[in-house]
Amino acid sequence: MEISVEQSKGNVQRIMLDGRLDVPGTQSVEAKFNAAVAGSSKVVVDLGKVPFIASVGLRLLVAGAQAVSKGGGHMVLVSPDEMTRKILKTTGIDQLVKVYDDLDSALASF
Amino acid sequence: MRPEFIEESGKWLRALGSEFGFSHEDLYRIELCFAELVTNVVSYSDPQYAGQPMGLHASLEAKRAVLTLFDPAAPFDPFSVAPPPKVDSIEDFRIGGQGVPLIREFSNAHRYERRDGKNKVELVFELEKPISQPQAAKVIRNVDRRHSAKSFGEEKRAGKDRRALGFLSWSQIFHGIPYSALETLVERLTIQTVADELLLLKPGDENDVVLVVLQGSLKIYLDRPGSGECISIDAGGFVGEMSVIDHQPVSAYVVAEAGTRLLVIDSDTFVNEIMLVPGVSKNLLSAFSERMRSSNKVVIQRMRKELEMEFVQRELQYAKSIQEGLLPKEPLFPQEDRLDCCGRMVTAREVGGDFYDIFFLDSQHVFFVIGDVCGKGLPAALFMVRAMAALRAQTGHDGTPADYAAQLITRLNRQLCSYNDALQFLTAFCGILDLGSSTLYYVNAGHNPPAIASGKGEFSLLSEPVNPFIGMIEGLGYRAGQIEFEPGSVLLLYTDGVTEAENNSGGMLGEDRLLSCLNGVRARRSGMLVETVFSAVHDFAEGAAQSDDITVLAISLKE
Repeated sequence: MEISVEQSKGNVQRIMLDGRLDVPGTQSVEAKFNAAVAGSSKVVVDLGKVPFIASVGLRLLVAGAQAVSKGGGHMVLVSPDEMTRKILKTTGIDQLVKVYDDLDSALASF
Repeated sequence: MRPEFIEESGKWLRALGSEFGFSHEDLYRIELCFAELVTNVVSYSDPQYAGQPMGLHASLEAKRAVLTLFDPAAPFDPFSVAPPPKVDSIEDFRIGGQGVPLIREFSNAHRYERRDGKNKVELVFELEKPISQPQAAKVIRNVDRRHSAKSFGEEKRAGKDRRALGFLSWSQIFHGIPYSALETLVERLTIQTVADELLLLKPGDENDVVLVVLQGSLKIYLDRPGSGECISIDAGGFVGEMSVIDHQPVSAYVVAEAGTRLLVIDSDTFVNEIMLVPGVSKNLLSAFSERMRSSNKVVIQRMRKELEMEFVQRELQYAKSIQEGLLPKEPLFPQEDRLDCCGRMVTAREVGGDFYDIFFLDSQHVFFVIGDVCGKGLPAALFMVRAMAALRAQTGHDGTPADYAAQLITRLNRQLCSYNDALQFLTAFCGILDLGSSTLYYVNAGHNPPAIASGKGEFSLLSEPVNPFIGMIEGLGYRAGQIEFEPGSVLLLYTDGVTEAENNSGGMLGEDRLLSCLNGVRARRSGMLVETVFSAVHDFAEGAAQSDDITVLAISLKE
């Protein structure tokens, strides 16, 4: 499980996850993910290279969104695959965290 | 939980997936549901179960995969937990509880069952793409589960709460009820541990507590404690609610097994607070119906036993009619103007070990026998059948009738001694009546001496000679006796059921009483004599139950 962070234009923090957000995968990126969202007001989490997400992964995302929201900011998700999108819908998370199909529309939302 | 365990089993599922060609989506669904299930089990169950093995079983058909997860923790149905509430903003979103909704959504069917002390959750997946291997595969794997001190920061607190909720939510009363609704109530209640097996309640007791079983079990006995039929209330179940609600005394015995832990709810708290918690009354009703069903089961089992008893009884009735069919048919020799004979057997149980037989060997010689197999009931009856069959098979007669009678019994003894592992034996009196010479040749093998009367003379016992009983000692020789038996003479044979008939004060009828009642009969017709003996036994017994088979055979030579 890899995590990389880059600043996109407009001061948007873009977090790219690469790998499975299952229990061990989530554990391995948890600290870096939390550090990357801390203090940011515009966060895009790119799920384009996440082939699997379980509820531990969802918790990571929700906790991140809550932290950003507390600081008065926004966190959005981008490029989830079809199954991941279904999971976000089932858990109701897609009603609380905005989900975009591609990076451009995500960036345009801020 | 050990992250490597979920990882390891996930790898196994992915290997299955690639081996059998699951589609990406199917594999995703299966892996997701499995991961959620395991996470759930680990976070809800008591840490005492950590380290115990869990089992994962996958069964694959062409278009369907069935995944079964077994775990040994306390009973807990993950599908009983209410889904987390819908919220409007991300701040209000409560982390946790998302797993079960995911399983409901992404599996096609789910089933929870408590079986053999394990939780069993079965998930069914209808596969979008049929698997590539033509024949179904079945794979079983045991996985090891351990809690690890390391866990997610946010989860620690939630995990503790949820364990406490788990501890109540698997009990029947609090099934699916949010812990928040119970928290303050439960804090006030006591938990009691029963060290040794203990009789908690008995019929007639006043009871004012409801007991929820947290660990161990309670046994409910309807008849008496320790009797075979009982209803078991295991962890999660409860007792006492009926008497708390209707104030009637307890209706059964309730025994706690050693080590049982109980949550004690006083009647006031139960009726005025707990029953008002939304959902509790529904849980109570479903527990009542479940209990009603299981007590119905006990009743049905009882009825089944009775039916089986009835069946055995019917079999014995058949056996009785077969045994009766083996005896010579009454009236005996109705066309014969030289003989007047009558026999009758009344068994103590359905079937018995007594027998008698009488038939012509040729026009001049009548063979007769009366016998008594030791013991009663079916075992005696089987041996009796053997003896009768062996005697009837003896045909032809060589030597004098005395020799013949002696040889007959010698051979019978030899035959019955072999194949007699149960060490049964019988006593018998048999003889041959020579109608031409009016002579009676007889052998007494350990049997009661018959009563004999000549002409108008008194009845006396025919005691000599005496021989050993038949069937246990091989190689015995038997001696015959002979006596004149002129017209008008009567021989009355009987089994010890007659002379040993008991009355209520323990006295026995005895030979003297038998002889005197026979001597009291004026017209010595065989039927009358037999009838007299039976009524003497009946009168003597004064209603005491017949304890042995009773058989009487009377043979008289017409004048």
